[in-house]
Amino acid sequence: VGGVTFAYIGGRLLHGLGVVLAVTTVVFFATRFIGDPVRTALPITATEEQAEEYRRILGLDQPLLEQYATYLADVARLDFGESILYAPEPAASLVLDALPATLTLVVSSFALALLLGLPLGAIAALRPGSWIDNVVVTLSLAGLSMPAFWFAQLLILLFALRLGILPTSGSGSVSHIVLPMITLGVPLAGRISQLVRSSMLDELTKLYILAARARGLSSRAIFLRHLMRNVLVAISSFVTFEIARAFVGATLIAEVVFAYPGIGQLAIQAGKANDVVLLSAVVLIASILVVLLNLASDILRGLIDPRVRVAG
Amino acid sequence: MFRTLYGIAEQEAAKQKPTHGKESHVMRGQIRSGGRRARVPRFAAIVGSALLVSAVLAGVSASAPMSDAQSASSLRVAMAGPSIPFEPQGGNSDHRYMHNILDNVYETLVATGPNGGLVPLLASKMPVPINRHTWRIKIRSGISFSNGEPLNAAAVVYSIRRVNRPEILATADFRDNFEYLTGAREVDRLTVDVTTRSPFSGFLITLTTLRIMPPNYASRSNAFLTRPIGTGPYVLASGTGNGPFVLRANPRYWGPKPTITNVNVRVIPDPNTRISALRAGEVDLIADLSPDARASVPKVIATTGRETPTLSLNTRSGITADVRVRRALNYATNKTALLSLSAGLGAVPKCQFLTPAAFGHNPRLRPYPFDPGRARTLLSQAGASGRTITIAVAGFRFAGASDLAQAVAANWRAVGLNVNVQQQTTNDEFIGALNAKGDKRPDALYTPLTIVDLTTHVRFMLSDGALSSFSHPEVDAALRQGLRTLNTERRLALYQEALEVACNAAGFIHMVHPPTLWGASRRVSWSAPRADGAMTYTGMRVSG
Repeated sequence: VGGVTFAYIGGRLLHGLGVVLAVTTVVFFATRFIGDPVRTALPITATEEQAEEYRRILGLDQPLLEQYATYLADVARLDFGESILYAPEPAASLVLDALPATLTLVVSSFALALLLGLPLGAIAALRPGSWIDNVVVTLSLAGLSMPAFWFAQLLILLFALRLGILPTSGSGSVSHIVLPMITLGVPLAGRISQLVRSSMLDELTKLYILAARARGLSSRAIFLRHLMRNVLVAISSFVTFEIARAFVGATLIAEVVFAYPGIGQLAIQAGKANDVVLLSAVVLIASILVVLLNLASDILRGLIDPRVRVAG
Repeated sequence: MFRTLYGIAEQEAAKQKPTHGKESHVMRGQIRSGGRRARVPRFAAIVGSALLVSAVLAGVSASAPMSDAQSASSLRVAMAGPSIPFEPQGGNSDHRYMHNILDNVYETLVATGPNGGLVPLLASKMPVPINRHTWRIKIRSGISFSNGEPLNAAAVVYSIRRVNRPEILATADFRDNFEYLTGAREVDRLTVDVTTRSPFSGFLITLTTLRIMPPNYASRSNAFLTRPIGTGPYVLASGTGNGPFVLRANPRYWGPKPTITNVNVRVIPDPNTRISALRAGEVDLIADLSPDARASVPKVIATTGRETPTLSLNTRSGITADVRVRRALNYATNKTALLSLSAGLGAVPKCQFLTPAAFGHNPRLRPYPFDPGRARTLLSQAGASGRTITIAVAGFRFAGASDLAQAVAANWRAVGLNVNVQQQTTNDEFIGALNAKGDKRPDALYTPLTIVDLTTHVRFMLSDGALSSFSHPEVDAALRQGLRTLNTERRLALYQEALEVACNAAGFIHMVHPPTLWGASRRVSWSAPRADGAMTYTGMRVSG
């Protein structure tokens, strides 16, 4: 595929499977030791006998290794069992139902971040030390420094209460995604613009730029074909990492503040209720996504940058 | 600063490429000048486009939240948590939000009336015991479920038998009560006899929690977990899990037709966002309003809740085994000041778990007055001055618990005790302490209790009660006799007697009855908000 060998993809897939297995193991044992889910699910007046009975119903009375073997077999079929909080709803379907909302949020946030971060970083790098550079750097630092929950509330105050042009929270229409998208996207745009600025400043000092100029290439061609290509290679790893981070945590705050029904909100509910089944499903499905994302990123980088096309 | 940093970068570049440094600089300038005309407008266009898209989206959305806002027949509500699959008998603290839906869809045979007393609802009159183990229920005629199934003896028998299945009992909030119900049989089309394990004085209060289901619909599949069908004033038109939920007036409803015919319930977990949604006019009513936030909403609807955060003192061992110490702790606790933690709202308990609306409440009791001098004297007499006492509190589980415990600890330190506030961090730790006896039980354990009838909570007071750290033979005798007594007046008298003895023995420190608060727009009125915090929309009015 575009110079990236199947052996390379296979190797990355195997590596990803190993990561998922390790996460599965960690999640299983961690959720068994963070507290007794049975006691959380039952009213506080429940007796020990009642708790034992419920433990038996959930299959938590079996030896731990036996539970682990059953768990692995079930997870292989993406069958995590019934959520304790949402019983009898299967945990996997709850997560898969919530996933499109989170995907939409993540994709739109990154689109916004790239839309803002790339040009602003480029402008700053092309006019180093100018007022526009100072403004971009200051704004990006401000975006980076703002706590997400505070920024989110400011956005609600401005757009929903003061201007009355956007809903405070919820889902169901495109307008509902605007504020969570800005909450996630703006700080990210700050990071991207800083990275683009520093990468461009680095690249501008390199010989291939001079060589390209000597070959008579136009500034536009140098910028688009040479400079931005190398800058994109530099930021692609960062973007992959940030997308992975968004899936496993960064969306939590935005989803809770804006009552946006994604997997972040589901994870918070599962954590509060000590629903180990649902929590496992959220973490594992998110980790599978991250592994796939990394694989896609590796292939993409191979396509952009011939140096990383490694066989096997 | 950035200019300086840039200068440093330039110098570094010049060092690395001495022969091309100048050219590089020129190069950069050329790219910059060459691209300026073409790119800057493009960047501006891109950013402008993004803003334009946002503005269009905003324009699309601006009308959405206001679409059904001005109708007197519609109400928009925000609650704090998800309504999980609608098991009619399910319920612990994680399930409490579903009552905001289910209490409007299902009905019970007996209900709690506006003044706290019990009244027949689906029963045509109050059920009566026909012998010591059997109660007879007469059902109203002419009622049907919203799917057309008739309400009859078969439906009541089905619903009563269902609650004793192990999988239902496992998480049923009123499991202790349901376990008393051993059988139900049809006497005729509208009469049912229910047998109990032993003479069961809590039968009527149990019926207030037992939702009646349509047997044909409920036995066919688990569809009722997502589409509940009841006899109540509303039907669930759509919604599950995190909502939004749409309730419509039940056209088959047998009682007075609700004036609000459409209710839209949203889940907004963040308390600040809930308030913003109310202020922005997106919703008319928000639940779980914090006392601190009452100035932020147009209108506050409040009621004294049923919960009584209590410190259960260990009367069997340790420093609190001495009644003088326990009384001293009660005198040392400034309960009126504790109310300031809930902005002065709520009430001071009258030396008992129960609010005035609960069955068993003893109106003759008075809280121990705040009297630090008397507390010091009693502690001195008991030789307890300067000794260490431990308050265990599961602050992670109960909102506001840690603040209450710290405030009480400060009161106790002021009378010369060394107080250790032990934060429990897991459910196992809390439940372990609650079930512990003797030395293993903390001196004072934070225990929030919500009681509608003392019958359901005697286990906290009986000497051999699984969750009790209290022991008093007179209390045991009165409670046991009360449990066996089916005559309501006699049972009430016995419970009141037990509570009076328990108050004198100072086995508990009943701290506050916290308020239940809702935020509302000015067009919403609610004549009788429920103490348990559940929202029933028939009692509400919305002005147009």
